[in-house]
Amino acid sequence: MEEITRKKMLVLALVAGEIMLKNGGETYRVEDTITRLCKSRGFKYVESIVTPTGIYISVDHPDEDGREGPMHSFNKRIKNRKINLEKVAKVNDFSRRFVQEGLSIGEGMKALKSIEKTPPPFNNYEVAFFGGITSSFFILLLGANFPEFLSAFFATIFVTYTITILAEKEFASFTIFLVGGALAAVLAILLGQLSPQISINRVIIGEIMVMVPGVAITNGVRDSIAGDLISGMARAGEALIVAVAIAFGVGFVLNLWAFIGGGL
Amino acid sequence: MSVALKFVYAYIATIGFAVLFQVPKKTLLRSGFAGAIGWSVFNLINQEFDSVVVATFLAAMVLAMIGERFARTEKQPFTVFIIPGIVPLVPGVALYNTMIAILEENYNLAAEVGSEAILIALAISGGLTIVLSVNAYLRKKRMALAGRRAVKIQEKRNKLDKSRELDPEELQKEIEKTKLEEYYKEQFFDDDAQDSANKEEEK
Repeated sequence: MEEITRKKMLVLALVAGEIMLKNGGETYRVEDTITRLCKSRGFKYVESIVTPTGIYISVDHPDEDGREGPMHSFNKRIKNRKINLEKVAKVNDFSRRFVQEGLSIGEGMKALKSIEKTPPPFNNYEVAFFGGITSSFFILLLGANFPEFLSAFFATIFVTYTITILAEKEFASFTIFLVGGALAAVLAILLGQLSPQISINRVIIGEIMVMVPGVAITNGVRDSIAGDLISGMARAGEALIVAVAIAFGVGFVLNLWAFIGGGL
Repeated sequence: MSVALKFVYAYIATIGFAVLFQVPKKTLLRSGFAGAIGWSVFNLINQEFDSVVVATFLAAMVLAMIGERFARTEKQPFTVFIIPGIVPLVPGVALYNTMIAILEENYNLAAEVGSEAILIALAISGGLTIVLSVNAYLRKKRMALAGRRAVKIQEKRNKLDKSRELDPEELQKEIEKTKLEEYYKEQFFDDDAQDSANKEEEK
């Protein structure tokens, strides 16, 4: 394989891994995809280490005459992560096509670029609306009454929309969830004044369900069980920061409310 | 509240989560189904045995099995079905209660509900990991079987026709290719590929 082709192939594998990792793919899936992509184009030795904050790949391959080739290594720092499972599914499908159907590297790169540019399947308004649906039906499962159902629905639409916009503007996740938590508590307290039937606690639980780092916690523990200790700890740390931020926001507003004399 | 009604609520809530995680549109209904089944298992076992952690553990296992099944029939990575499905099980309420207990400076209660939250998270991951690692083992086994099948097919060819004989290196490549096909069949279950593989074997 020529020097330039090798480099292009490595970049292609890196971009595929990056899209997956940025959009919520699991560590082992990213590592596996990168290894398979590289091996399919004849690299004899491929190692990839993936953590939530970066991808490290190195490849080695003897050239046609069997001489030692140069070793290549690429690193990529990942800063922003959001969850867009459609892109993970698309890259997964791309990897299958690339390995089995023998796309050329140029075509592969084009396909990846178009995956990266695809807008998410649901826009911000749809996400906000479904955020409302989620939280309201979730508190119905916990035994909420109709006024609570309605208030959770409308309040969560507002909360979800706010955190989506803040995430788009690339604020730090601590800030996003701090604001989200505080907003959730304020809205719940305001709505709680409308009717004595509305329990502020229950509405807040509904609202923060769209923010709780459940996926990060679960993936963190799962990575740790599977032996990906660095990813496991990093994800658990991420989850902890998000949980603390939400608790900070909610707790601050609730304390303030208790301080000025309102009851829960 | 009847079980059926709760199933419907869980279904709708899970679809909402699926939208938050931007799953492909065509898999929304199946994601909802997986989550609703998971939550119903949780609910029934929790009512019967009154243990949140055990119920969550079993629900996560059922959810992982359904997710793997859908992953094959829909040719999608299983995360698309499992991630929205686990969110109703996630210890959000326990986390909230921990926070409230800390605010009220009731540290005993905080430790109690806090450890419950951690146990629930462990139960979810444990349930998922057990099912997924068993599946990974089965996949490896199937890949090895596919490799052996490729060798057998080649041996048959050799008997029939000496000119199609492969040298060991090419044979190795052939084996690798068959294994790879088997690997992707797991992720993207393809009935046509299955049929052609069967036909090949019959020959």
